[in-house]
Amino acid sequence: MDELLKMPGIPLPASFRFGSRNRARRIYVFPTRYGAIFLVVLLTMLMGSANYGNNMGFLLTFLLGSLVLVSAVHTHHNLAGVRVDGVRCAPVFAGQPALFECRLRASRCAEAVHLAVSSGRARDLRVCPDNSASASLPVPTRHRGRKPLETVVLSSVYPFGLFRAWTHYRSDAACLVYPKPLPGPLVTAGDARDPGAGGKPSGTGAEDFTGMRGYQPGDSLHRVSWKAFSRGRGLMVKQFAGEEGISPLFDWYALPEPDVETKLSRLCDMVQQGHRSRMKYGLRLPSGIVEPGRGERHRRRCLETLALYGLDSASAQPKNAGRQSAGEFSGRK
Amino acid sequence: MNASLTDPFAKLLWGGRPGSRLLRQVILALVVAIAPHAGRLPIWVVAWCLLLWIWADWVERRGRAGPQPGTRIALTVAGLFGGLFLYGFSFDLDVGVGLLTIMLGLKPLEIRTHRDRMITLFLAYFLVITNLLYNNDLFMALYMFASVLVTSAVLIQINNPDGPFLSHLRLSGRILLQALPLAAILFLVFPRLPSGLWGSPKASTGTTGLSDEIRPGSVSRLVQNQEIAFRVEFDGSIPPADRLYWRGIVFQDFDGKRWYRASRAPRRGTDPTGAQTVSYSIILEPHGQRWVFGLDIPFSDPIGSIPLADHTLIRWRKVNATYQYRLKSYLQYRTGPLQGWERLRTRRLPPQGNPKSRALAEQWARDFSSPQEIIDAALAFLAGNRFVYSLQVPETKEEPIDALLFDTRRGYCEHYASAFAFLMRAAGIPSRVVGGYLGGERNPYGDYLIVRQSDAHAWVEVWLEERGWTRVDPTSVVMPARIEQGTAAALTPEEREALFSNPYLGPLSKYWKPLLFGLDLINNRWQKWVLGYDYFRQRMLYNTFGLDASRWKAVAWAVLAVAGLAALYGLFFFLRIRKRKSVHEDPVQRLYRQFCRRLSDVGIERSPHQGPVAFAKIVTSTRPDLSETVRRVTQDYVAVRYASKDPEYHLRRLKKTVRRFRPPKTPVHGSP
Repeated sequence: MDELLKMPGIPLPASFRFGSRNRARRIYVFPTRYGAIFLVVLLTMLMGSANYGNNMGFLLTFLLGSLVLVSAVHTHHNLAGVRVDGVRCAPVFAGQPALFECRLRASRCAEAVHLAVSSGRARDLRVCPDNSASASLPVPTRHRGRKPLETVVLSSVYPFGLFRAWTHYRSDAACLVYPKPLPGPLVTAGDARDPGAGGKPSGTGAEDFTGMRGYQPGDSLHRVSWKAFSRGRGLMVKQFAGEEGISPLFDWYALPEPDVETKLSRLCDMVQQGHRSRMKYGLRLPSGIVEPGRGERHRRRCLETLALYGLDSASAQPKNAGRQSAGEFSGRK
Repeated sequence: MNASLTDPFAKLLWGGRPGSRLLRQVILALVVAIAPHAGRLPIWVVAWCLLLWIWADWVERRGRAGPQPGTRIALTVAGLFGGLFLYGFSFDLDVGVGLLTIMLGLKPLEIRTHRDRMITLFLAYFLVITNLLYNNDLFMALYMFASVLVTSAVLIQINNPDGPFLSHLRLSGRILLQALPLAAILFLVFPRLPSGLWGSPKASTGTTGLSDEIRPGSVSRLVQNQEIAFRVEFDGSIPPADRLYWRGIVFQDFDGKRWYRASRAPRRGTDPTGAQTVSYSIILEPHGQRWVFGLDIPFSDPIGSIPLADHTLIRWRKVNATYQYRLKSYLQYRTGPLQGWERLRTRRLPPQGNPKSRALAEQWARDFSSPQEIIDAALAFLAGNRFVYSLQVPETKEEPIDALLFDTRRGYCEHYASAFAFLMRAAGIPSRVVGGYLGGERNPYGDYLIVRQSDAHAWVEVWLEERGWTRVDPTSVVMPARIEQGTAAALTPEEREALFSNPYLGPLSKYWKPLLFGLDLINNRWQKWVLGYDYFRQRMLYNTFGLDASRWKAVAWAVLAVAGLAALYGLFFFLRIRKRKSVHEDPVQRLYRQFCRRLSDVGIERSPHQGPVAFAKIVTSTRPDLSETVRRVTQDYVAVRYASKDPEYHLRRLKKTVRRFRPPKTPVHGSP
């Protein structure tokens, strides 16, 4: 099947857009190798029938031949109603495979629809108008940045496996790829001025309890003092030493590594560490400063900044993928 | 989100062990394809297949490892050589089918991948066609369709393993029906050849019907055989029963016990002259021999056959498939003078043997002057001496004719014909035995005759100076009922009971015969119109369209026309299927979808996450000119769907609005 996936097709027009009904979608139909084998079987049967002068043989041969032809139409129509409705992809770290989840919709039930990119494929799907289906396409990543989804080939050999119908789907969907974390000690802004003090400047950040204050939206629920709440004192948040002072800024300039990518990988690891220890942290990069904060959303913002650092903003930030979270589908707006 | 699910499924589909469900269905297709062969195949081939299939299924079901590659190779070699050995190292159709079946018995054991399954199913299709080389009737045709239906359903199943088999069966049936018209056109137009591509295949079914010698038992053994020999359709009315002598083989050479076919009869030189012309067409069932049958004295040249000087017909090659031909015959005829090649052979007798009969004939020759008187004397002898027409004839090794005429006095038509011809030759009259069929059964529904093997008959021809070859049937004096009422009437009640009793059906038995006639009528039409369609009929069909099939241009035109028709047919389905609505979509949904499509045409797309109300807001903001219609559609849609005050009214209004909804490409200003 793989070699067939690479079959040259007619190039698609630039304005090609998936899912729009007023533009005809190109569907290609071509016999599979089984179709070719079956053709040989049919020719044998035809020769046999001609030699024996057997009309029933002719009838069977022509019946099977017509069956094959009619099945080509069915193969085409099976795929004709299917379209990719949207694509989403949860960010990954470089080196992990990006899983593009394509949601399929169909105007009538389509059987055994197969999705593939050059690097991987998904299981066959059944798509019906009243229930959409999703297929996950694994795409390997090596570098940080935005990994665009290559052209997806939707195909199906249904019903007989003698013909294959396929169509291309191009979306501007891309998967955000964070730098690959490179383990090491935390390096904050202060460390640059006092390199000798490097090590664990805020390692105590979450340990020394200093007091309570009133809950503000955005505070982590882990910090809420449920004991105080149960006593009817309202939502109080525990405060720890280190939060009072300057939050640590993981500093680009403080890193000894000379290489940009290594620096980013180190910073990425620090963000992960900072997030895991629930401290407040920020980033200092040549492109600017990410103000300290905490929580999942903050982590993502930091990682995204690292992922896109230094990349051309036009290509790095496609129109609808900028602030996209893992839960939204893009590609059809 | 279901990434974890994806991989095992993909494995199952694209490389892992096939499910045992799939294997069972592939075996089902094989069973259906092989079933008609089961009776023909040696019992050990059938057992071989069944055992191996059960084994394969067991292995798959238990998830056991199948036989080692070495074992499989050993089994293959054993199957092939065992088969060849047991078939005696000959090669014909039977052996071919046998070996193919042996290999297909093994195949399920080595099915591992999608590819194996596909190839096995192709072989199943191929096996279906081998059935047709043995049996061609309508019931086989229906079975063929059923077989293709099942095999195709399994083919769908292996390409979509998740779906239910029943729905695959339905789809398979639908595709089959859609393919049928195209298949019919191809069947009619595809160029046929006047003869085979490479030699005729070796007869393998064995000879049924008459053999090329007349000896005691050669005709009477056929009495129990109810198989159809041929069917005849007359252009006019059917001639009376005592005229229905179907000439097949002429036996000229007698060795004292047996009569042999005149193997070296030349082609017919001069045509016979006669009166009372009858035109008819015959559909001859395959019998594995070259002779074909004609009424009495046929005088036309049927297509595909050669007329011989003894007024029989010979096919170009053995009749291994149904053969349909038209003939004209004389019921009254003169064959002209005795020809050189028959002069001696039709008088010759072995020098010794059957002395009593010889003496009797020589006595007649002395007593009477004209051959006609001798014939009458012989017939009177057979009529007057209480001869019995019976299937139970005592075996006589020596002097069989003396034994029949003077001792046992029991015999069947071949005994009497043989004895009569012997008497004639002994009296000096040229004579010979003719084998064929007598009579036939009229099908009341179709007005045609069915001639069965049980109608086989033998009679005598004598040569008379003034009339040429003249038929004399000694059976007509021994048992006149045989001539007028057929075989069953000629037998003793016990014999009739033993041979012709119908299955016991109780009160339904009166429908039995009509049912058989009805089925035979359908089968006859099938034989005539479908199986009888050959090179010559195709030429006639081409001629009706003004094409000369013998020229390649005409054939090219026809092929082009078919290609065009096929393309049109494809287009027709293309459009029809495209139009077909989804089964699952309800009318409200369809209307709303139509509405969204119209909006999409002018560039407003609905995202999947937008509900109707949210979508309406967006449309209204981008195209204020459409707001009125959009509001109404949305309102109706929501009302039909969720509020249930008067859904009928809203649905009606929705239908009307959506049908008329044709949004202009660019906003129209000034409209409400």
